[in-house]
Amino acid sequence: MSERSKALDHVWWIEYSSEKSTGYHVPSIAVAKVTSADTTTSFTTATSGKSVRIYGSVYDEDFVESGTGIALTEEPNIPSQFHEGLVHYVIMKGYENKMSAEGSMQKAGYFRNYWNICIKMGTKYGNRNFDNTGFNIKPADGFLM
Amino acid sequence: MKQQQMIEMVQKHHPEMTETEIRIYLNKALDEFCEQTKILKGQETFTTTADTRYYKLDDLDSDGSGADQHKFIDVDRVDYNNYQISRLQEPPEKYSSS
Repeated sequence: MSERSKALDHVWWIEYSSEKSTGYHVPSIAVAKVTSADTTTSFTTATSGKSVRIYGSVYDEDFVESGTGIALTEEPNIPSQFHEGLVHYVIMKGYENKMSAEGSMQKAGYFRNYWNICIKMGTKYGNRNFDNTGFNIKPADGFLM
Repeated sequence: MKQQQMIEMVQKHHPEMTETEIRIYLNKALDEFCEQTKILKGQETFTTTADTRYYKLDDLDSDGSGADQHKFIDVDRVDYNNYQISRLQEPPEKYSSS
């Protein structure tokens, strides 16, 4: 069996169930080897010593005073046009924490609006495909003609 | 914008807020922003170990520390031995003993 066939015999899924009876559980990624014989499909553990690469959406590093993370003189990894949005969020929280002060509610609402716009623009940016080239769908006889 | 500049911008509005307090909210904002927009993409590699089916997403290399890897929000794709493999929508009904 070729290396490709061996690799493609594997599957993955996200396991949400907890191994513990109580407590917070972080989801796990499961990798298993699938073998089929007649009507039976078996899922066994993957061969050891093979590399697995996971791709996905990730959190940014944390802001830190010192140590590992985004230091005082460093910038977050998100695109620079959204950095100010983070500041708006904190200003909003500051006003929310002193609601009894005159005008705080309006100011909190003002900055919440900026924050929501930032999220909206960020979502749009995150969904773009970095490819503006067009493509054509070739019509076929008897189908959408 | 650097972290220090962000802190100074906040303190123009809220001079009573400490740097620690601002940093807590900045981290909250950054996490929320990444979660909702899924703007940052990353990848991590680990090596399979014998008789192990599950690998914790926050500690893929099982070294007891999640600080040495990306924190995943979701997983789009998995490569096994450099080949992209399929995702099962649901865990299998039954596992084999080995």
